[in-house]
Amino acid sequence: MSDDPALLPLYVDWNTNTATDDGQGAYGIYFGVANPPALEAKLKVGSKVIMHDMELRCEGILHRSSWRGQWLGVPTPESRFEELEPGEYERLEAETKRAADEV
Amino acid sequence: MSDPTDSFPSNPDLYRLLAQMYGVGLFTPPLASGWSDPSLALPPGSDLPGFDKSPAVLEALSAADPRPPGFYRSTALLGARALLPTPDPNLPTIGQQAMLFGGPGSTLTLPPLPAPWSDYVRARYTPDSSLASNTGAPAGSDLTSAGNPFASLPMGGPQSVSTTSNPYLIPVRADSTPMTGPQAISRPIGEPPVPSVDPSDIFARAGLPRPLPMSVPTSPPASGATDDHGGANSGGPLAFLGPVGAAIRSAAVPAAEAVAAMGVGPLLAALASGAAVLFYPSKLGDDSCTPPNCGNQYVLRGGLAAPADIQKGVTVVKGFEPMTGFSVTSAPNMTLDQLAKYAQYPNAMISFTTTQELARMGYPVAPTPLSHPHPDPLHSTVQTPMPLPDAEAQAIGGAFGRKMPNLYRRERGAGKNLSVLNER
Repeated sequence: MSDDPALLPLYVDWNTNTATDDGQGAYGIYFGVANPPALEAKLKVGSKVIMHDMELRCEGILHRSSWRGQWLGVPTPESRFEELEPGEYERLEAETKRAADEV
Repeated sequence: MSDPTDSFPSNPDLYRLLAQMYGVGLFTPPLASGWSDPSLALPPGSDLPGFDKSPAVLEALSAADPRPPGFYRSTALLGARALLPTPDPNLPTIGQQAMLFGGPGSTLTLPPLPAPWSDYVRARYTPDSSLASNTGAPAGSDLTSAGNPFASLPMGGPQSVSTTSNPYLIPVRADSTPMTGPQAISRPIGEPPVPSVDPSDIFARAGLPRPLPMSVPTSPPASGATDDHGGANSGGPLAFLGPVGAAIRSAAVPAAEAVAAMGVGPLLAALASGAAVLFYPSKLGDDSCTPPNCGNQYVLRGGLAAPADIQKGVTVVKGFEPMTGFSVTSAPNMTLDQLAKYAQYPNAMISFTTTQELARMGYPVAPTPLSHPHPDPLHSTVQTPMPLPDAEAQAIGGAFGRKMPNLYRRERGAGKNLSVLNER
């Protein structure tokens, strides 16, 4: 899998299926338990990220809902959900923590 | 006796898995040369006093035995035991009467039995057929020296799991560490099973038969009770087995009938594709509170609902503060199929339980419909503390121990199928 090292991995619960203001299907991105709270300050609307949980991953574009400022990830049209390879979850999680530490 | 697996053309691993699942002794190791009783894997031990290994003598003994032949050391017993929901160390001794070919008090006793397969979910992996050649039981082996007659068959690759006698089943991981790679997670061993729910509509769409409830009798059958299988209740061939016979009757026979009804091909295809074919024990039997009765509802969560995944999903529910919990899909009077069709999870598997089961554990499910910017009327939240302690995450993961294939798997994008709401 060819990862763009610049892409920030973010943990996403695929059960938080929602939509952006303009109706695009999206997944909620939460901070606290799922992602380091410090990371929220680093996010920029429109940036591409890796959305993943413990089973799947796909690329997405960051959006922010007008409703309570909820961060959302919209899967890119060309991105498919892919199963994580062994050890990939740990690697993505470590990258997320490292990015949070750099804030 | 010819090996029934010779009738089937494809991967022998799957047939061995089927044999272990159904436990009806369909696939037994090759018989020793000169031994003709198909119910016994091997002839009686030559060290037993009074035994002549002449087939003629043994056949005469069998003919003089009023009891039905074939079950005393049959692998069917292993299957019956394996189908029971809770291991009972007393069960290998079948009855107290003397037996011709081993039994209580003899040196030939049934081997330790594997944990019930109902505590596991099949792991997904690619079998290495080159390593799975069936060469039969090694010479000199018998049922007293191996927990499973199939366990001694040559294995290789990732299916060689030393922690269980069934190489196809991987035990639940009871810790909350992140899990990666091919794996399967079920409720922790020892946890009380969740009420069985009926995913028949899902399986109907997949062309599979309705999963068979396997109610294991908890009390002796009424005197004179009859059944359609000539089983323990009717004083049929399994009568002498008592409750074990009843287990065979209620579980193995319907399971075998299911295979006969659907054909082996579709079942093998489903197994080969990684689909979980659920033949699970039903603790509730025909409990009238199966959803949608009694206000009970199905609760779906995409994915395997591993404890660590549940912990990661716990958050403050926006719009419902200070409620905390994790997201699920649930609604009254909707089937599993409807809920799965609505949710369109990207995960290959869906975990499910019921509101009643979660409430019984102290985790109420609240409807938390997202109304802005776009509606998600079936979004619900399993209310939990935040952060969720490991022990509670494991318990909740156990409640979501039922898995089913996601027939409405989303390959890309996000969204709900709101049209399902009009189908209700």
